[in-house]
Amino acid sequence: MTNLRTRAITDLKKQNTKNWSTPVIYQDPDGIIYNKDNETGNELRTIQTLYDRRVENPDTGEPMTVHEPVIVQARSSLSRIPQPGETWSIRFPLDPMEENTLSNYVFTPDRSIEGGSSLGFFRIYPIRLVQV
Amino acid sequence: MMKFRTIKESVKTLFANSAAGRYTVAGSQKQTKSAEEVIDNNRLIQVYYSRGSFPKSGGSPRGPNDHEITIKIGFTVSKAATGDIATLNNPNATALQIQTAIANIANASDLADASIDELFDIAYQIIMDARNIDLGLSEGIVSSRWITEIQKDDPLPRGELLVITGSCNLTCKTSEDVTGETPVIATAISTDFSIKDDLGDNAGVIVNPTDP
Repeated sequence: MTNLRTRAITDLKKQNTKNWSTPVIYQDPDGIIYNKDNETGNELRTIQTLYDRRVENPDTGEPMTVHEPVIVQARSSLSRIPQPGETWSIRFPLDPMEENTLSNYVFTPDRSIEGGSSLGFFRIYPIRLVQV
Repeated sequence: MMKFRTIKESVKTLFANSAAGRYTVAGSQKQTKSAEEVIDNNRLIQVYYSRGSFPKSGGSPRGPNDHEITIKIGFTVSKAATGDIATLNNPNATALQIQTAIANIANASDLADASIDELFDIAYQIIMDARNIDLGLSEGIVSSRWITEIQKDDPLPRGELLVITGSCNLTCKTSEDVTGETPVIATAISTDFSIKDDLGDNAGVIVNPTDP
């Protein structure tokens, strides 16, 4: 019998993965590729991919929309959870209408991941990766 | 126009003339720039008059007055991370190759830090170059140019890029003329002095070398 906390974590993944998710591929610091959901074996997808958000212009106080991708990922989808200080490669569609075109990003110690195990997900703020 | 405005424009021109595609220059404070606009060699140098003091001992009620100027030079850079994307995207890459590619990814914070250090270097060398002792103006307009300090701020993630800002203070001295906000236009007065009994206008000393 599952408690409500477990049910909430399960529902969060199940309900949102079909509504707001995009495909995603991770590569960990050991070179392991994660493109299948560790729980279901299906294509690995995010719970939610946000692209733009409204912020206050620090200079003028005016609201503005900035391009800032935020990835919300179910912890149960990965067999290894990124740890602080690790550098991971991540690929996801830059344009939500072009799901098959994945762009390269990275998340690094520049900005820590958010979210604990009791929440069932973690949130990352990827930085753009360009060819050296 | 007061000289501090001329000096600020001249400093801006000095930076613009030396840019060579390495940075862009703006002559105002807090011009809003997105991280995307100041990435890589589009990094921004802003030049603006920040502070001035007029020591009373260095002036007079009708001028000219000494003006000790502080010009702020602001720096903004942004960077993405860099890495071997070709290997990361290669479906045939081995785990070891991917591991190496990830290990060699350069963090955006490291790159941005190096980029702004380079910008500090460029700015200091331009301003303190002996050839620019007059900040690009004629001799005698500005004196005592000096960079007193450089400051680097904390890195800030902005969207998918990382931004670092910094600034340095350029101090110098000039002498401001006080012409009034609406300058007085002097009226020219032409006066002929005629001596009543000197009809031929011969008054004065005529030296005749033949006189004994």
